Amino acid sequence: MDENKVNGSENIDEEVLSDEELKLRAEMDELARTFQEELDKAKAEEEIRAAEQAKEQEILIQELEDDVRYDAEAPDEIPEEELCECCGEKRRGTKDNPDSPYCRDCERGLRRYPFELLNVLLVLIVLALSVVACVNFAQRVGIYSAAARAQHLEKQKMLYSAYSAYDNTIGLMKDSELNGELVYQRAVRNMLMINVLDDIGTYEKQFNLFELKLPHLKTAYETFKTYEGYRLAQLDGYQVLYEEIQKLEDDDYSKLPYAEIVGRIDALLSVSTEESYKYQESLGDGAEESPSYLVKIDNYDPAMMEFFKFYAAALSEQDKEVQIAHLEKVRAAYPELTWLYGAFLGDLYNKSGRDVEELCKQIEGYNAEDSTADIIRTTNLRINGKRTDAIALAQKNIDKGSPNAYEFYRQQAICYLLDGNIEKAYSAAASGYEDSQYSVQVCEVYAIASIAAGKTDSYDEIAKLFEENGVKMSDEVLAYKDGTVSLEEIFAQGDYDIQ
Amino acid sequence: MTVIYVIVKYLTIVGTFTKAFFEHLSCRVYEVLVEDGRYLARSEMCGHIEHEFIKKRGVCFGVCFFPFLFNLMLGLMFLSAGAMNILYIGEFYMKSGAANFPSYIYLWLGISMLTNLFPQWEDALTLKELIYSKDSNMFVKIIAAPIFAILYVGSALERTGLTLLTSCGFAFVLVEFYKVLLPAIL
Repeated sequence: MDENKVNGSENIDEEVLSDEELKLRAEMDELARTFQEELDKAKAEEEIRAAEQAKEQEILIQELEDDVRYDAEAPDEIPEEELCECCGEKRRGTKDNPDSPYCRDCERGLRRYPFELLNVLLVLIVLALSVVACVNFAQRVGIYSAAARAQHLEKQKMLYSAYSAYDNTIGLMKDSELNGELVYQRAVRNMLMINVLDDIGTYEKQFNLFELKLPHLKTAYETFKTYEGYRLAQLDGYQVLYEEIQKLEDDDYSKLPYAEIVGRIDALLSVSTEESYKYQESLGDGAEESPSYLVKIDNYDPAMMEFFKFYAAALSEQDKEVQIAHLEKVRAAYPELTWLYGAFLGDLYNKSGRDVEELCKQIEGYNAEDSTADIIRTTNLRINGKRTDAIALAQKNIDKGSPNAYEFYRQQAICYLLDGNIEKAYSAAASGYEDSQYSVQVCEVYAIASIAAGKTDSYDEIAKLFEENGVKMSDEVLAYKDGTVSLEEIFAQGDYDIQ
Repeated sequence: MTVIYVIVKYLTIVGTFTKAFFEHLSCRVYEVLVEDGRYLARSEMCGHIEHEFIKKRGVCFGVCFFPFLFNLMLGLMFLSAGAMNILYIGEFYMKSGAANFPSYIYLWLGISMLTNLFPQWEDALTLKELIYSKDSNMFVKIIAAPIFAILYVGSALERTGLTLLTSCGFAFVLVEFYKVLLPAIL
């Protein structure tokens, strides 16, 4: 009765419920259904997890049982070929690699093979040493760089710049108390090439004599030998010349007995240098500053002696071909020593009307910074009447800051004198004189330009300078002053220059 | 050939030792099974660690490359100081007149490290097999080519002891390199 009543009332309710209320009820039913589904899913996952745990436990128990069986297995129960190669006590093979020749424990150990303490210590020592090496390298990197820069300049044939760079490098080495023999070797070679001979003897002290005979210092040995050849030739060869000059009653060097001098120099070539060394030692005995020359030569250097034969030939005013022959021998023996023969040979070539270009290229080939080649070219242009070109080439070198600017000014002054441009000639000669007062030829051209320009004060200054230094003014200058010789006769004929 | 190999290895014992140490270290990091851990065995294994056959490409590359890299770095450090002092500026003797032993030692250590850079020949072959197998990625083949080439050729040279000559030659090359580099940067 009551049920019917309730059902009856629900039916009545449904009938009386609005659409909105019906929609709300449907949503409530949907929510209840979703909740029930989530609950069922959670229960199912819990069951799966429990099953997995049970399985894991089962595996662990199985492994434990295996381990017990594995450890309990006595070696004599296992066939020999199945024993572990490492321990020889347990069965070989692992779960991951059943074919392994090692048992499980041994394989685990071999994969983490231990380091011996001594090995680790040794490696640490090597690592520490590598740090020390790095510090050493870093401290010296400035010296390496300076030495490399100097060598680069030397390879570029910029020998004057290289000399400065080597000087800087040697300064850095001295500051660091470092004796870089290969740097000294390159530096002395460079010095010999540019005629900076004063320090070569002192640098010999940086080397051990026995080392100088070894191949890696061969260049230094050859350099010292060449230098010693030049030094002895200068000492004893020039002595011959000096003795003959002393015998002259007046200062007329053309009276020098050339053949006799050459004979005496040749005689030196056949004797040992021993006597010369003994004589030098007797002179230097007790003198602290006397350099100890490690490299000694047994005989005089014939090529160096040729240079002093040339000197005798030039002073005694021998034929140009005779002079050229001596210098050609020097050139053939020491082509790299362009400072020794270059300027003289170039001058002789010019005066004898030969082509100078090959010689100029040779000089530049050894030292691109040497302006001797351009001096020879300028003289050549002037002698051949191309005075405008000569002035331009000289100016180019003056503008470059050539250390021989005084000679280029002199050449310009001669060109202007021959062109009749006295004002410019005087100006150029004065500039040359300002640049260097030690060149007799520069002073004499300045004297001629002063006479031409009517600058008696300037001429008197030169005359006084010559007098003070005991130098006799050239006959050509005096003759020009007297009006007995013209500028053309001095500069465009004969030797094309003041003698 | 083994005799020459062993002689070279003993002449450059420090490099041999450190190479083996770094190989051991790599094996340990990669958990490669080491079968013989002696560094200076008098056999073709001198300077190498006898280990299991490596099947993974990355592991094989690591075991070959990292000892090479570490020895190369140490070698360059020692050789830079030694070669520049001895071969370039020529500091054969110190100011006191005594031989310049530190620089000679640096030079020897540098050469010995660079003599022992490369993997064992079998490892190089394994690496080749793993990198250049048919199923290997083309990208990996290209990327690994330069390093593989160095390791492979170096390993072949090291087998014959020729790396002693190449490392001596490299000392001179290094000097030339610094001669160009240092003035440019300082």
